[in-house]
Amino acid sequence: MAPPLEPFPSSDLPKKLPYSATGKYLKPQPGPLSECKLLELVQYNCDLAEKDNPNAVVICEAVVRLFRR
Amino acid sequence: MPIRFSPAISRSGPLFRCFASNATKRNVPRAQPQPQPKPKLNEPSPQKLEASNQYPKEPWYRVHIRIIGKFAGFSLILHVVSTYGYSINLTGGISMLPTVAAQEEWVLLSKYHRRGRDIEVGDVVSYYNPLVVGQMVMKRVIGMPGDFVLRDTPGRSDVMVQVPEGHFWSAGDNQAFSRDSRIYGPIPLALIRGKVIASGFPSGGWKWIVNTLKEPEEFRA
Repeated sequence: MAPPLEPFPSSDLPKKLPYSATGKYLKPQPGPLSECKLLELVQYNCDLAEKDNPNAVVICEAVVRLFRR
Repeated sequence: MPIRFSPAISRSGPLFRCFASNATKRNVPRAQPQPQPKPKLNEPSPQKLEASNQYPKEPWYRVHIRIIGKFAGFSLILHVVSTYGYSINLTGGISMLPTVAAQEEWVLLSKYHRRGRDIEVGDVVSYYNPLVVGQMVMKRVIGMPGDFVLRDTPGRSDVMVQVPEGHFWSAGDNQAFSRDSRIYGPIPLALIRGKVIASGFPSGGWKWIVNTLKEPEEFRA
């Protein structure tokens, strides 16, 4: 069973960055997020174009996730 | 016809024996002794040759033991390869569209990456469903231990969580129809069966499953 998570708004991310997953204060401290490398991962929302049509095609819309590493 | 007596016959046996021997000698030619071939030293005898052409006589159960041994050896090799090497599995479901087809598509798993070994964000992994015993699912890794990830679908909320130690965060490529970490939270790395490295159909059309985490072509604010 996974340990309980502590959800927080993305605006609090700079306050959470100095701490590891176990709650320990990281040394050395990570730099500001804006200096980290920006990466993206594209996923999709795929669904039928016409749900009543048995010959309908599947249309996928991109969902982009951005990462800082 | 006068009977002639030879001193040798008269001394060695009765008289009728002399007649019989004379008649035989007269009508039938004397058989000449045939020279017997001398067997060579390294040549096997005819009896040995005949015995060597026959199958070895062994008990009936030895045949069964041999068949069972071959089957056990083949099963052992298959088990080791599928557990520690590679395995091919049939997939089903629409959660990984358009990367993997909805049905009847096969995937090649690398078992080197089992239990999360050398797994990175962006890889597609197969793992045991933490909610359904024995069910296997295939998703893309979004976060590794210590990473901060979005809890929900991007664009719907900005709530974030930190992935605990020994866990990872998964998400299907088809976010509209995927049951992943958005529903059951972080997943233990020990549940990972392997990394998906290829997919395709038995008739052909295999392709590599690559890590899609890359630098953006243009920044989208």
